[in-house]
Amino acid sequence: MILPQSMTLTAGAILLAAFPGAAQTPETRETREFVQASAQSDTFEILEATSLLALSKNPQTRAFAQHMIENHSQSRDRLMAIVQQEGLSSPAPGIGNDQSQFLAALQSQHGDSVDRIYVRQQSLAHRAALATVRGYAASGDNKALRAKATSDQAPISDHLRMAEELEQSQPGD
Amino acid sequence: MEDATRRQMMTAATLGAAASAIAAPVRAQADPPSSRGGKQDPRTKYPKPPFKPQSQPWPGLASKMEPRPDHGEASYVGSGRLRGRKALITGGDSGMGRAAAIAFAREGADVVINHLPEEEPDAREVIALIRQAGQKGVSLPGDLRTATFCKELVDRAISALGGLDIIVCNAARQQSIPSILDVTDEEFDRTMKTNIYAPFWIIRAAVPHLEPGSAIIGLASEQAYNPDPDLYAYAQTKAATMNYVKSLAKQLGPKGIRVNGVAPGPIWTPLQVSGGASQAKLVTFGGTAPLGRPGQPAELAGIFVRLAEDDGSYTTGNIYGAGGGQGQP
Repeated sequence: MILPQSMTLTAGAILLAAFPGAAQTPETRETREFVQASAQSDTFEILEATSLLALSKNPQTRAFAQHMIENHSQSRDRLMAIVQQEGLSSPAPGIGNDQSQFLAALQSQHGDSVDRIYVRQQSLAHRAALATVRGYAASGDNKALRAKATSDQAPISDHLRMAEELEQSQPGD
Repeated sequence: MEDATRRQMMTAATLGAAASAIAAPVRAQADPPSSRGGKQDPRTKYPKPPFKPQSQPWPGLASKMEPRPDHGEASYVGSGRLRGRKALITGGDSGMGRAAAIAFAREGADVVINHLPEEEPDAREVIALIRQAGQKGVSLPGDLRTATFCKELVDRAISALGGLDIIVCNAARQQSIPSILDVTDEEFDRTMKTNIYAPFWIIRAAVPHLEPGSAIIGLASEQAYNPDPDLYAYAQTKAATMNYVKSLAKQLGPKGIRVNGVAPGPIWTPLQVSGGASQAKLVTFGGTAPLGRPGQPAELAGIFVRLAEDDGSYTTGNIYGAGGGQGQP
């Protein structure tokens, strides 16, 4: 498996990121949770896409995965820049429980089922991501993060549409 | 030859009995029952994610969820497995408690349900369904967070039904809070009081009245074994439930009282849409399960009946699961 360079950089950034400090945090609960959810979502997308590239020969899903790596690496860089600039607590490394289960399921596939499972997971994961950014865009209290959440709605909606189209084009099981 | 004939006769008799059992209970809806006999694809039997974003104030109503959960209203068919039994179910207005209430009534039990006053609209539907099944149905609203109310609930259930021999401690508080820093004393206390103290108070008040053959059912969860990080308070109460079930089974076995638990996976209930799950989790709810969808309360009805009925007489101190392919036990 060849790790794309952006992946290596992102993994480094994840490892360097510190856990949020205890008791006193500079941000509200909503902001802290949004930063965490965004970081996990970007990390998950990069891990999923990297797994897909290692497992699949399908040009369509590979192209989508490549796009996810580029797009979510950029998203993650923008998030970390805002975190630093606003003096917010760094997100904890890693991904969520549901995301771990998706990743484990994807990494256990082979053959055509890799692509089928990947696009199904991608359509669900982007729906979840869309709910998160919409929520913060509507009521988040940090201006810079709110701007990011607002501008992220269009690309995430695009990813969702692309994943759903790929899902439709998959042969049934 | 003779054997074959007898088998055929038995089959015919069984079919006849089943047919009359099917005809007897009046169902909520006119649709023919589709969940008994034959086989269905568990992946496509019920809705799968994505779901619409939705949010209700705690404790939420099943009647306002999209899609509406299935508690077995149109599908559960009884066959007298709990004839003459008297059940108390906390949180019996919606979710798994409601599935238990409907199934118990159709199996011939009289049922008292407890719920919060805000859940009255759901509770009214359940009481109507119990009565349509030809059984006594009583609603006793109230918050379980005080010993006084729990004791009163047991006393009133006993006088309403003329006894008690099934207790389902199902009501629970669950809120998704990603950081322990945001768990207030009030929230922690509310979770502990509802999920741990209430079963203690209810069971302690009921035990002196329970005769041999009675059954107690606690609600554990997949969370008892593999907790999500945002369910810090809730998940530990489920681990405690799994544990009290086993402890009480040892304590009450010599009295002929069985104690068991149910450990559901992700089930589509009002608890999830009223703060129990984040919006992101809700729109993809159940998507990580190998069956690709959340469970419906109706899919646990048979487990509750199994744990309550006499045919399950050697089952005590056990946890039965419905996890959709993930989690334990």
